[in-house]
Amino acid sequence: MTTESDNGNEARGEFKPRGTVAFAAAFVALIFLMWFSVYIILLSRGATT
Amino acid sequence: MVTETTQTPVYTISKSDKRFIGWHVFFAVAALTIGSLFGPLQALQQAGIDWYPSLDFLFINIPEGPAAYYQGLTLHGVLNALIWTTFFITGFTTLAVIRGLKRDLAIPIMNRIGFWMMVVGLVVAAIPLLGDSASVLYTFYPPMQADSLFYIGLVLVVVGSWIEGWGFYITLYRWRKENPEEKTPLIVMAVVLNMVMWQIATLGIAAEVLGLILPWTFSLTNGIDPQLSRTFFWFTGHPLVYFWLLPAYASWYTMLPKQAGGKLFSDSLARLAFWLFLILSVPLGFHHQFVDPGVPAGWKFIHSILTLGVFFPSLLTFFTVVASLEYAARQRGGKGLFGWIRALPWGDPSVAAQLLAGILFMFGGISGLANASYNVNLVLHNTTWVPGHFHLTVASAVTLSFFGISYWLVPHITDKPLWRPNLAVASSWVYFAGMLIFSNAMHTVGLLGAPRRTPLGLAPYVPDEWNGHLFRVAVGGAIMWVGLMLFVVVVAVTAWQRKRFADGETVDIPLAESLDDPNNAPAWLDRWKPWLIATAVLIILAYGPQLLDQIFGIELTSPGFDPGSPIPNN
Repeated sequence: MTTESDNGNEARGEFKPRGTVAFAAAFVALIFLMWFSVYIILLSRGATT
Repeated sequence: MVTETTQTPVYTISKSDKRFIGWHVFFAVAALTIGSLFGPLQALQQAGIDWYPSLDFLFINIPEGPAAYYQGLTLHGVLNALIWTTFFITGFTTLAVIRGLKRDLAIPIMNRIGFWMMVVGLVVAAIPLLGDSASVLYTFYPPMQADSLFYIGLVLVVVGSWIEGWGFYITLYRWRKENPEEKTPLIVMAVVLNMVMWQIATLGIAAEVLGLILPWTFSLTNGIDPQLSRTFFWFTGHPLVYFWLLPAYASWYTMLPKQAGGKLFSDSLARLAFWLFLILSVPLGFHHQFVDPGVPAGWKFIHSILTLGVFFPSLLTFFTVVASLEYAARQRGGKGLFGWIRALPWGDPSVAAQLLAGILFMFGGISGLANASYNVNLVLHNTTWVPGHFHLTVASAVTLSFFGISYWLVPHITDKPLWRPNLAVASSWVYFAGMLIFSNAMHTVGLLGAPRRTPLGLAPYVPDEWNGHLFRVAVGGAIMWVGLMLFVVVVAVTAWQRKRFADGETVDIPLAESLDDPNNAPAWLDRWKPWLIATAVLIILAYGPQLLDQIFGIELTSPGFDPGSPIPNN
């Protein structure tokens, strides 16, 4: 009742969020890419303790 | 959808409650308008252009040079990050509780007292802010010392918001007594949970201001302990970010899917994400104190890990909201792996603002992960990267979402149609473009080592390689201000125009249905006790020992300093 219930008549199983999965994969790849670019800067400035 | 009117609203909010919500929005937008005047001035200052004297008319005590910068930065931070957000959130929460539960507030006078206490607090804090006796930035780190009125004003704002929160809890409690078989509507759960999290989080700032700062400003103690003060501050300071974000998430989960023409992908996933935010928002403040010498490395590492833990509900939110939008877009004929994005209703001012907010927030999430990583943080700590990051959160995800909410909320509470919807869409795009330029430049020049909280336009040490980026900071900041002013004009003219909806016509509050039946959600997702216990336990584990150590080792020895002088006050 969030949300006003639709009695669950519409099966979520019929909808496959393929675009969302692809979008999420691209986002995670971007995260790694940008995080490691900062990490490389950290290394280039010398080791830290 | 925002301009779509209906003759048969699902539930009608009373005129007095609409007026009450309207007062929240009025003070929020007024604070945003004044606070944002200083944004482009700071951005221009970074490029060596000093336009502060043009705002002389606003100041009681006219400062010059760096003092003007710090006064402007304090006003910008306090009015935009604290006042615009808190007033808008409490107003939005009032509307969400009333509409979600389809009942009046249980004790309306309690909410009114809380709200007007916030207004009094705002006025009290504004006096020293405008008089240049509280230019301590919105983090007000001791031993910088402001006029005591500044702290008293902030206390009144926070306590006022608590009182409004109590009004919401009592309303929800009574509704649950009256409807024992029903699950709490998601939107109500989300906004009330946010108020609960806020009240837990602000215990830190309450301890700091009431226990340390006010006795110090009244000379009841000889000095202050800056380390303990900072620890108390960040107990509140990081969850403050979630206090801003969760109402935007509430809109993204429970309203945006309907506005986009679809449904919420999963009610259960949404509930789980909100509970995890309650548990994880508070016990991670030490990641703001990675270079504080008084906090042991082990505790910083624990908070670093917990901060990365918050990324889990954030990713849940990303997935559920994007899946809901994809569902909506495909219902509208969207095709392809990414082509469905074009099918979303980008011409709707409310939807466009929130979609752009989400896009900017993705980049904010990425830079936030770098902030949270213990060693990587050392590259960017106290650089312009940090304000670059939080402009992508509070000034993008939150502020643009509140623009989007305002584009249906103001017509709803005033019974007047949105003025110039196309201009409203343009406001968000202009702001978005400015933010892209501004935040990218701030992150980049931060990685090059540019310090934050510094009027770089006056600094003699700025290397040539920073100059292009600082110019982009100025350009981006100025463009953002234009977008923001367009928003202010649209909502102000909407509210004050003579044109009204025809009799019986209104803009209904958009509440989305869920693809799964919320009544089938597990019962544990609608119980408060286990989640509150888990929240308390995790806070005690993550903060308890170190906080006790700092409290028992307290040293009230540091004198106060005026922000503009290296000489102690007494």
